[in-house]
Amino acid sequence: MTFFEYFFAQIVNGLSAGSIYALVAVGYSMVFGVLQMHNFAHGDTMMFGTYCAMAMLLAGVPAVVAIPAAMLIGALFGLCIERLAFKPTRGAHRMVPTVSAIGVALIIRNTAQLIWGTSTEPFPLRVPQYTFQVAGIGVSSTQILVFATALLLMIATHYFVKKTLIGKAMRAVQQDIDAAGYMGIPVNRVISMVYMLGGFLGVAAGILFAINYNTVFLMMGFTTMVKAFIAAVIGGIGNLQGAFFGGLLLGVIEAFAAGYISSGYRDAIALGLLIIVLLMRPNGLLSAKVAVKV
Amino acid sequence: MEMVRGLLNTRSPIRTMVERIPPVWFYVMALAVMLVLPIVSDDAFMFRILTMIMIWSILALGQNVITGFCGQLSFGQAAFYGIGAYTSVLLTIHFGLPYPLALVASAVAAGLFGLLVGYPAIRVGGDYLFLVTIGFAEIMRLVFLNWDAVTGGAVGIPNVPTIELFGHALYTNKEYFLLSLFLLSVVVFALHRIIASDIGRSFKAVREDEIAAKAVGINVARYKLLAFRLGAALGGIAGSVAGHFLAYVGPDNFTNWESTMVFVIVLLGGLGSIPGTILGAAILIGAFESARGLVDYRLYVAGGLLLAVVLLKPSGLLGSVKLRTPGPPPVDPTDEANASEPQPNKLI
Repeated sequence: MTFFEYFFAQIVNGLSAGSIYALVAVGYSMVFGVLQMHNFAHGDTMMFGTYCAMAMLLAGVPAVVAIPAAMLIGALFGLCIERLAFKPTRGAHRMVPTVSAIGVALIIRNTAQLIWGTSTEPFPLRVPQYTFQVAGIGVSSTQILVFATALLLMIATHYFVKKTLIGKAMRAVQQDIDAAGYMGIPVNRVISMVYMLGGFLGVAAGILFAINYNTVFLMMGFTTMVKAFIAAVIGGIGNLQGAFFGGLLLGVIEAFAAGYISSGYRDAIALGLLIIVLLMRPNGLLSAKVAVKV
Repeated sequence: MEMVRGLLNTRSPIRTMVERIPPVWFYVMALAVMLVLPIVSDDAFMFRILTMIMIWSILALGQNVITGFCGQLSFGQAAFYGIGAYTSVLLTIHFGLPYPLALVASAVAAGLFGLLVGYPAIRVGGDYLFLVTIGFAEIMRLVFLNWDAVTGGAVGIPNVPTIELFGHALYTNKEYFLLSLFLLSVVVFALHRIIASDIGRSFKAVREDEIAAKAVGINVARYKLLAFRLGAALGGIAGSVAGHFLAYVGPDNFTNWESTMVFVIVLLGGLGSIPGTILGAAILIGAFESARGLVDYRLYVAGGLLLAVVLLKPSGLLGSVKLRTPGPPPVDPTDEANASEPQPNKLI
């Protein structure tokens, strides 16, 4: 394999992994935007939903039913997390909902551990395997499927937020929660919906992750969530397009780190990138500086 | 839930009476009991649990300096614990350093890394810092795991030599118990002196309102870095003792789970409370170490405790810190002038 082929193969690997980070980051960023709160249970919702999809597929449920059903379970989890961890703590110190979300995440993780154990499982969905040769670089059908599905879901989310009435209500709540309430927007219901949409997209990303790497494991949610957060920070948190580009960029950087430095340090390099970005531009690479209100 | 919250937050006359006793007497009594124990008992299992509780108390006190005293949200205490353990163990194995020096070296090494993590704390606050510290802890774990030449990789360092103090090697759990009791006493004494000093008051000012602290001339960056250095150094001390006591150091001992446990201990005991932290460690570590059957349910225990504390009693068992959002004090809803103002979130 020549230098350029290896180089572009890393980019292809990076884009398919990055599209998953981007999808998680879009959901994460959307949920962050509405209350300005990090949802630390996002990753574990994703993990649990993926395990549910795996269990349903193993039980013989066809994929067209199992995958949407798992995504709905993710939405249900999003709702429960909002009700249990965020709603009772609204108006408290910022640390309080962060901690309660971690509490819920640990409970979800323990439940998954009791049901499915701690071993790494293969994902039982077989995607037809083809390899296309594009200018000497092999692109697998799995990579195309993952990238296309993630892109499609992100475009759908974008239009949902921009064009529908519910999306408009979400944007209004995000801009000014009090004013939105005065305008007659059912604030609490809209917030619940954002969390549900976040869980829905999160499980979709989890299933794509499972298809891409053919694995399901207990800590997949946690690591992917931290990476999605990095992607969201690179793009400027709360900014959906930024989260999308941040995810792709992170995927490519990681693929280069794994391909040229060492695959053991892949995650360390991604996390180091987070620290550097936060040190240099605390508001993200793509956002303007905002002064702190006193 | 309101009723439970009310019950937990009412002050019983007994509690008021107990609180009138000067706190130093509790320490004297606890120390006396702990010193009598080795004379009357030879139960190695009990001393093992007590040693672990004290090691985790030191570790969690470090977290409490950062989060409870100085108000910086950190979630990477396991990294400092690991740095301390590896430093001390590697120095004694490869260079034959006497243990007191290795202990100091691990505190200094962890403190230096604390400084490194503290720098982002100057620039980013709140939950961003939270993720930076999670990220830092994960980087350290990956370094422990992948730097085979020094850390032994995934296998770790088995058969760590026991601590030798002034020509006397520690072999029994009882001896380790006495060592950790001594270290914990020194740490508790030092921390009480620090929070009573101007450093402690500056920490408190930074925690309550950074902008106001800056306005009265407190060098916020300096105190944040100091808190991180101090908290990390305590983590390093705990790691140093734990590495020799468990006779094994490996990347699996310094994961996100250890950081989570430290966090639960601090929140359960109460932010900013030194006796609370020790109580929290006694409850959590005591439960996990004595009931091995709990291991499959440990995330339930930790997660349930986190939820219960923040929803029912945010100040923890013995804490006094009231977490509040910075800015003007909240308006009293019984206030006549504001009673008629609509409450948009409640109506819908």
